[in-house]
Amino acid sequence: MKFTTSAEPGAAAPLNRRQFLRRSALAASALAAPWIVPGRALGLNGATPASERIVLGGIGLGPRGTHDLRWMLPEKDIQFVAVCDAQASRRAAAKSLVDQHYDNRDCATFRDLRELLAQRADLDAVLIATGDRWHALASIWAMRAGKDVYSEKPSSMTITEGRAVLETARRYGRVYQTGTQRLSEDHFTFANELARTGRLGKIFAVRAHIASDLAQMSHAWLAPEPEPGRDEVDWDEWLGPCPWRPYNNIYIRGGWRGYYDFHTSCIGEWGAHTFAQCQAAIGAGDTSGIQYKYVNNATGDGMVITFANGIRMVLQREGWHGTCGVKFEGTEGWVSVADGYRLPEVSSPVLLQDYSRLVKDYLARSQRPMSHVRDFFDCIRSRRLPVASAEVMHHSMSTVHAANICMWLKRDLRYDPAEERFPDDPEANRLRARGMRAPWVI
Amino acid sequence: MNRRSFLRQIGAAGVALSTAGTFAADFPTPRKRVGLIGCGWYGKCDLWRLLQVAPVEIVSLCDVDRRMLEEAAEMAAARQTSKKRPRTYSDYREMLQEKDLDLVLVETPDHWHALTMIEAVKSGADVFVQKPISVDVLEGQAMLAAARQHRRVVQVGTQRRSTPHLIEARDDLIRSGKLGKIGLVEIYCYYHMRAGENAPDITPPDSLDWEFYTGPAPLRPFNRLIHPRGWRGFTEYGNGIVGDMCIHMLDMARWMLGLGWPKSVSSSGGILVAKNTRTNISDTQTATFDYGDLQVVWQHRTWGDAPDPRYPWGATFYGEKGTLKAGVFGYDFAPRGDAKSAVHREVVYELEQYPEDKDEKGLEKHVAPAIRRHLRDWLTAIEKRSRPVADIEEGYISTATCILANLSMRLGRSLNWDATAGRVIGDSEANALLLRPYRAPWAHPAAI
Repeated sequence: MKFTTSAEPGAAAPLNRRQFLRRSALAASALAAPWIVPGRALGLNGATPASERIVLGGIGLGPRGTHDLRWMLPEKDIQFVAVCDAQASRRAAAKSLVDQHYDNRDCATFRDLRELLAQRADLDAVLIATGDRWHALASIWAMRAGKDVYSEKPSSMTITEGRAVLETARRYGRVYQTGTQRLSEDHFTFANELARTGRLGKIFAVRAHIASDLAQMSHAWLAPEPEPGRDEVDWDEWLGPCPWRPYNNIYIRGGWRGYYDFHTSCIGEWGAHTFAQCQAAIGAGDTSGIQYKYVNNATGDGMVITFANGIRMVLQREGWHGTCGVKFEGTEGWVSVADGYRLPEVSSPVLLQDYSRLVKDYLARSQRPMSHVRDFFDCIRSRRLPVASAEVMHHSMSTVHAANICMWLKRDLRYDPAEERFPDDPEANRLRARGMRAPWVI
Repeated sequence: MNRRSFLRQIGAAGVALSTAGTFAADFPTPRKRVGLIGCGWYGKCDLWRLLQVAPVEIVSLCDVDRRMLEEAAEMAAARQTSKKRPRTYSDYREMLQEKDLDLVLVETPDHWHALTMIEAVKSGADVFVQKPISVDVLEGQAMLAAARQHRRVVQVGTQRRSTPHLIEARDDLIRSGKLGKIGLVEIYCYYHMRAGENAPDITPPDSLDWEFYTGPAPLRPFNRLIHPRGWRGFTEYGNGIVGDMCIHMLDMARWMLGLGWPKSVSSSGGILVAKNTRTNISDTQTATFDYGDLQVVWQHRTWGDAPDPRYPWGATFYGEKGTLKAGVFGYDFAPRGDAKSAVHREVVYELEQYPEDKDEKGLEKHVAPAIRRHLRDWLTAIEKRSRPVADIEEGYISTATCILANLSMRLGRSLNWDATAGRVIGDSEANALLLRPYRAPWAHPAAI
């Protein structure tokens, strides 16, 4: 297939998957290679036949991406066939992981995701686990190229990016899921259902865990180092839409967090999860916070965000066991849960008696599995909206972005979720978007 | 043409061709206010026929395709006597919120029928809803319940019940006993109506709100094979050729023979021949509807020849004393052992009375008289607050029966139907499929 040099890969793939498979088969028979077709390719022994599998590519496969890869690979009805990373060592490691799993050497590698999208018409979906700066743009390009997308959190760097992801998913009819996997875990589901079904009385406040670093971001540069060769580390590609800065190896080893250009602060780090969880629990998945009360500290701890239904969300750094905690407080009780809880903490043990039933009811009502990646693959087949759809994520991430802007401007803010703007506040409105470095633009 | 001469003309047509009488007498002013949801092919066909049979004012139009909507508004302004341009809406809820409509036509793709029809009866309108009434069985139950709860007259677009030559066949041949005991009815469609190409998925046109179009259905990438008009080829939006074509002939057989629910339904088939296309409905399928000592057997093929080229879509009634073939272009009756007494009847066109039909794009000219009669029947029922000939309950039975055929094909077993409970007997897997999950944020309507 022709290599494309345009910034954006062609929206309409020249070959569809079936044609691609057919041509590959022809090519194979023309070569008359003595192929041995493994039984699982034909769907023997209970495996999904190759033609029915969801064909996947991975983009940006560092520690989190590798975790996702290990999580997805055991699913029987999918197959990873390509990986893409700006760093040679990560490309090689991801390829080796995939090849080991399938016991072959077939996984293709790409340095530039534009080449991956342009050349692999056979991909049904992609896993995007780059750093935060790339999530939205990579998702948008992938969806325009006809792929369904599982993107790590946060789904966007700005309110404008989130809106663009949502509009792209709608316009191109793509299934999109963000990796906010606690929306598909039983403890958190139980807490959500306690709130939703009124067991806690009328909810008046929810508490959302934020990470332990700072809300105030660094604009400094690390000391410049000589750039490695492009094949080893493609620094330009790594930066993507972000403002250029000189290379330093600390960034590419995960040290990009805390920099304004690359990160959405401690609020985005875990708020990307916990805000979505809180908003799901209080039925605010389709809106964002309307008032943001500035707190005079460096972290945002204690900030109060108010929703249109009157419920307040308090940002809280301490007092949890494990990561990504939430607490829902109602007139008749409360529930609190984070990753480190053997069982959710509740105001009265009576509430726990309904644990199994509430989770089971949720499963029956939503017809979703308690597995975030499985939900994504099921939705690829059914074309339903996944639990962490672009819509859900855009609205909860808008709350994250507005909270950050509140901290950065060091004053209270009002936000209009319908208009997606800060009324009469041009300064805040300018921070709804960031400049993007060509050709990495939406 | 002024209104009086228009009325006179229609009146003459009514006397000549219909027993429904003339609307000049039946429907005195004020003009009924009509709204249309879904301004595509049959939406416009039905709306322009309504203008021909009754003094209505087209007040509101709704479509998620802006271009289609604007075109329909221009045509409506040109065609209706007031020459007023109707209000246009992209959201049916906003249109119905006005609560200023007497009549609403629901002419969307199938996956939008239930929500729009229920909202329309809630708003106080009498409704004409296209067939099949729903994409799943429980939608149909909810629609029937809503029509009854809000006491609205709801006619379903199964207009074989209002086709003059078919009414004649029913009365003169079947009811008069000329066929004797009928034990088997074959119903069939051999039209090559499935897209034979494999167009790529593309960005939807700017004028189309793809998210809203998709609504409660599964979200697919846009493909020009879907819109306009091609959605029938995709299971996401309907029930394939069984939901599109079988329903007409099954409904006709039920109406002619006075049948209700079958005892059981079985079906098999799939995509057996025409595999290289994105359309995903079956290209070959048979279904048996078991009515005890009468079997109704469906067959469709979107490839190959029709056994009788004069009847590519129709029904054959086998009686002890003779055979009746009936279709949209006419009927043929062959008494056993008496070739001389065979009867052949052609469809009656009304192009002299309605010369504007001649050049109307997309209009099935042989069906236009049936549509007019079907609409007149609806309006008469509205005046009398009675049940129209294709009342929503009849539409529900025919629709659900066809959907059961598809469920049987999918499950690979026959389904025994409990008409009282509205459930499949002893088959929880099948009963779970009586409801298709809706895509959020749309919520599946429930029977009240």
